[in-house]
Amino acid sequence: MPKDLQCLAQIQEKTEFTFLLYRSIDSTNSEAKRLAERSCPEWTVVIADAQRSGRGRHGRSWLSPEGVNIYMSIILRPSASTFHYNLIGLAAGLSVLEAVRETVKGTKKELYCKWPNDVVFNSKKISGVLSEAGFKGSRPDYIVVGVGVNVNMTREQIPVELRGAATSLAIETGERYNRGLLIKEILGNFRGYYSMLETDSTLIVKRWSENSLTISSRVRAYTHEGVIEGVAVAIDERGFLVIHTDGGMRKVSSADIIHLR
Amino acid sequence: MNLDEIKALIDLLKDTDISEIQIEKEGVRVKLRRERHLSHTFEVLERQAVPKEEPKTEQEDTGHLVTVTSPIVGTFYRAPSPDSEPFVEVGSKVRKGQVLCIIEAMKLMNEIESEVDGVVVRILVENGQPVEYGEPLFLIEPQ
Repeated sequence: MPKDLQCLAQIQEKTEFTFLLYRSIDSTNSEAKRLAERSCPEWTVVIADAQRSGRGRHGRSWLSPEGVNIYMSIILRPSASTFHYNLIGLAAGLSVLEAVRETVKGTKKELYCKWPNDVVFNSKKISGVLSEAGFKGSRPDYIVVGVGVNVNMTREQIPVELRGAATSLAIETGERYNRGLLIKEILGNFRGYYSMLETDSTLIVKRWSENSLTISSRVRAYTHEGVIEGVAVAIDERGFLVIHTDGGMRKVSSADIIHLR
Repeated sequence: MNLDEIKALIDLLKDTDISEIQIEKEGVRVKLRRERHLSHTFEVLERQAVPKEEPKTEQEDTGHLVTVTSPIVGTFYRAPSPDSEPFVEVGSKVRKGQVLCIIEAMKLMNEIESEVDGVVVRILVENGQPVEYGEPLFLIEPQ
């Protein structure tokens, strides 16, 4: 087990989390889904030191070199009928943002959420969330929340064409970080927000909005139905992005967002 | 068809002598009827989804088919990624628990499974289209 992940064993003893550590795996989300299909209990967390085919939205790949970043997927089985599924990714992104802010305390930093659930550091992406749910009838049997955080990756480990868009904590601050401790922070935050998703998610929407780079920005949203351009004014209670366009208000549930300057 | 469009329809009818109008758009049929003795009163008689592909014939009996509806609001995808094959086509045999489509909202990919063994008879939504809660997605003939 990598040294900086050894603290997870102690965390497991004191919490409801069960960690499954892999040296290398195809994708932590794929493994978590396989486990969830086989009735694996919730709060099982799949963590890999490297991913062979890390995934993003729509089958895009997620850069996953060995030993430097966080690749983890949390298995959840929400049972409350009031559970706010739509906000689960935003809650995960917010959990990462707050954990990173705590970890790099004192460092000059520009940390923001980007809709729906990316985290950007000095305008470049350090974290992404991909959640996948398996519905049985009208309710999800499970939700897998996949979180990738670029922690100690060096600039050389990022392909040249991605260097303008992606970064890591180490690149931005010049320091190396203990991944296990950061995982502990992220999961602690997420556990708190998860409880709110069962009851009142107002605080999640509020905190996300306060930390968002997207709100008040001029954005271009690439949706399947075409491009929407305007000023992002808010997210609604379901997490939809509300964009003020020349033709009126538009609400977007799925899109790639570009911030315009 | 959204609420604003229905309101616009009602406004349109207000100043006419038309007593009933039926409109079908984007797979949703809306029928408005004005009661003569209650001017400016309309009731939405039907707001039911109808299949987009080939209009339904009078003889067609779909009563035995299982309708798979969307459990959430989001965007409908027939394949896991733009480069992948669709999960199912019309005529595909499916097993209970098999994934039929994905509905995305806020980067949460919701895999919708078939609740029966059967054959996909009709796919009611096009790839990449937004879907509402409860909107019919597939018709499946149970086997």
